[in-house]
Amino acid sequence: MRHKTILLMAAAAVGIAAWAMGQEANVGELVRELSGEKAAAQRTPEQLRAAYTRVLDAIMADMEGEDAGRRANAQRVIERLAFVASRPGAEAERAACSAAIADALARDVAVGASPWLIRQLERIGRAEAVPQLAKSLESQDEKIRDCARRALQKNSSPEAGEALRRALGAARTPEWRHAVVEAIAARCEPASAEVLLGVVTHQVAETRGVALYGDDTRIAAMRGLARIGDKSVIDAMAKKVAEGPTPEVLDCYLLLGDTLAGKGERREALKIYKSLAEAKGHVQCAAIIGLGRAGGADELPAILAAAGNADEKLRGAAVEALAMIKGEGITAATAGKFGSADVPTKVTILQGLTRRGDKSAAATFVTAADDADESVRIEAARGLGRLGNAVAVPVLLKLAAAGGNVQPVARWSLHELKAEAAALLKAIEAGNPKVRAEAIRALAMQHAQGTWKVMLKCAGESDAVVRLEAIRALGVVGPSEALAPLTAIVQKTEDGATRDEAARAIATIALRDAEPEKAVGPIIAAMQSSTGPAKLALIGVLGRIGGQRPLQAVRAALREDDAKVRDAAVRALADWPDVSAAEDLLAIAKSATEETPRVLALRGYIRVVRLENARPASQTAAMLAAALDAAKRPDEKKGVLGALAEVRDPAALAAVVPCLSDPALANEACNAAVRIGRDIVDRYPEPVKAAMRKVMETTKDQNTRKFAEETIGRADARLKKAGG
Amino acid sequence: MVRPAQPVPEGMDWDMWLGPAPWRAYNKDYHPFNWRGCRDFSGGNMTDWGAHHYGGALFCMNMQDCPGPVEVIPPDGKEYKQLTWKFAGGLVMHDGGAWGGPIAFRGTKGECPDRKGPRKAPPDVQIPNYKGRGGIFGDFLHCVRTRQRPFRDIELAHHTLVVCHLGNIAGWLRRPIRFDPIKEEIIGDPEANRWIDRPKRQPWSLT
Repeated sequence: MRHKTILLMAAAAVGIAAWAMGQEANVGELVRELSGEKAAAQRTPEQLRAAYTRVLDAIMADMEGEDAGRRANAQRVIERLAFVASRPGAEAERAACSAAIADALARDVAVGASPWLIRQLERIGRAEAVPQLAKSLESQDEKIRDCARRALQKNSSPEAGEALRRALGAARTPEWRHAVVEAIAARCEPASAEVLLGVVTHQVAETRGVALYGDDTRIAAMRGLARIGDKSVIDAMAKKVAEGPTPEVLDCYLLLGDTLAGKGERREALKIYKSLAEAKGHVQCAAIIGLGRAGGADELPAILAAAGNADEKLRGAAVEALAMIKGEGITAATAGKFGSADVPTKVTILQGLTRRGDKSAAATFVTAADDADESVRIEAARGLGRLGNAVAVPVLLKLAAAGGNVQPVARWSLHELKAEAAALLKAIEAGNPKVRAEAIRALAMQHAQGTWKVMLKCAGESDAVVRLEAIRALGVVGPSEALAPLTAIVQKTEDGATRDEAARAIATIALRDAEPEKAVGPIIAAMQSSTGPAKLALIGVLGRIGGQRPLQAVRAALREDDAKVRDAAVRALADWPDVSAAEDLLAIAKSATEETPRVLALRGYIRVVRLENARPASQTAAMLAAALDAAKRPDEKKGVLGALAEVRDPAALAAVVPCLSDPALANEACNAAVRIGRDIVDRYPEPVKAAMRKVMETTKDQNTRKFAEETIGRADARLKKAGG
Repeated sequence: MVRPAQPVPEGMDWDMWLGPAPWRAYNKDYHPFNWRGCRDFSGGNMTDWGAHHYGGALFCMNMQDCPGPVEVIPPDGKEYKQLTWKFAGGLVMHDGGAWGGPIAFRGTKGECPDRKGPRKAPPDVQIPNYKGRGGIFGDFLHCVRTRQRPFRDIELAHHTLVVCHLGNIAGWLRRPIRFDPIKEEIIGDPEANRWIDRPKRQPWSLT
């Protein structure tokens, strides 16, 4: 008895569970499960399909309804489920979701809902979706037919290809036949080769004088055959070319060659390319490239002949071909033609050899670097950056030193030869100053930090070209130890260019220092003990570096008797790298009696206020409002208005509005007001509306009036919403 | 979202405007600007401003010739807070989180812009620039004449858009994707790979 009771209780528990599974959770929870937002229950394939069907049934009314918002929500739900179901490793979910969607289509949903459902099948459907999609191909609605056609095109199952081939047989209009052929062709299935060939070779006699396919459709079929790349269609395609070598037909034939070459059928591909190597225009170019793709040493003469052709497009094709062609001795044979070639051919040969990347051709480039023609020298410089080694360095340095159009190419190639620092250092030791300067420059571009002592030595040379380049290089590679000798250069030199370059280098090195406060000490001391141009230059350095100690030192310089020192101090503050100089600048802008420092300070103030910062926008607005007060001339006020236009705050708007009534500032004030207003109207509709009304009263510019009007409209909408 | 149908404005060929995109009725919200927000027409902000920023980032890294990332990971609420692209050379790019401007860089030796100290002078590096005169348009015309590669060569632009499109695909599907940038295929996820190309509304085709 007890045993029987236990068995009965167990059966009831199983029954309840089965009932619960049969009922499923409410639809919302089901959607969360199926979209991966919560753990999903284990389900059989049938239960999965039932679950997706349940969701579809629940949302179908919305998907078919007139409310665009509800329709969009329903679409998003089914799309989300389809995306999740289609993930790798979830084949059971994908199949179930796809089948449920196909079932929904089969239940004759409203025309409005069908395209979205078919769209999901386009993304996730396979064999299980094909029967319903095939039915949809026969829909009375041409939009649904085309949706189904596209869905079958993307469907990876062979059944989808069969469905499309059947649909082609049943198609009644030329337009629909064309569309179906496009879909079949896009699938690139070998199983479709026969059908597509039938389209290409169709004779009207086969259909009692009725032309089933237009030229466009035949071309689409040819394209499909070309992409499939079946060898069996080569003869048929060649026959089509012979019958009528239109550009479209030739393109398809070339595409067939490319596909065959890609599959390793090089002999067959080569036949195609060779048959077109004497054609005209782009076809010939493509054929020449094809010779490179599929050919070998036997094809090199034809490619080199193209390299010397008067048509630069054909020469370009020869470059592509040379880059690709494989075989023993190709590089040597190509390089061997260089010496006897004319200029255009030389350029093409060099470009091709560069693209090949075979370093055994480097000697040809070294020879080319001495060519009388600049375009050849340019290609030589370019190629040496890719193929060269230490031997190339003196050649490239000489080309760079020569200036002209070769210089930037040679410099870039030196940059590319990163491994050859030793060769560059050797070139610095002695020789032509311009060459030595290029070697210094190249080391700086490589950030060769271990060479700074060599640079320092060159920084003391009498030759200006070498000296300036070395100082510049020290700015890039110099450590903190270089600061003292560079400062000494600033203090001692009488040459302005050297002083300026050294000052720039000091600033760059100091900014790189891990302890900038420690680095600036000696610079401040040097500034304070210097006089004349050296002092002015070092004040400028402090302005580039920034920081508390430099700021104090520059403030002290503002109080010196020498007007040039005070001027340098104002300029340094105006260049300050952050906003800490703002107060000083504003004070100068308000109080300076001379025009130059006043204007410099005001511009500098606006500049530092606009620098990147974390302060509230209202504070920035207040700072710029203070600048507006300090500005005296209209052009100065316009500069402030331009800065205010970037501040998204009602305080900025309040600062701009009074300027609307000044005719000299009205244009800029209107622009600034509109720019600010458009960005803050949602949060501050009332002040923005008032300001825009004033803009409408002030400006005649149609664009500005349009933006102001739109902004008033937005303000009204916001006020209405707030007012309920 | 499909908007309600409205009359097509005088002089506008709506069918031509749609082109190969799936059919939908005209609505003034699509044209002239807000088509960007519609997946059938555009990749949204990702292919709009994203193209500028991601292209700029790749340019700065001298990686314009890189054909694409090898993995794209959407935010997962755990390890990945932002959409992330990983490239074969080791570069990792995130959507968002930049400081000091639209693009920021973090390397093994420092950052740019440097958040630790004052702004530093840029290194002396030769940066490729426009050829000829007249900005990017002049560069193109110059290269038409000289057969040089333009500053914004179409292949380079394509590489940038690969980044954008893959970002969108991973974001829409909300799952990581692995990509073969040479074959231009998504690996191991056939349904995601369907997004690489879209079937075209008849009679449109790509020759």
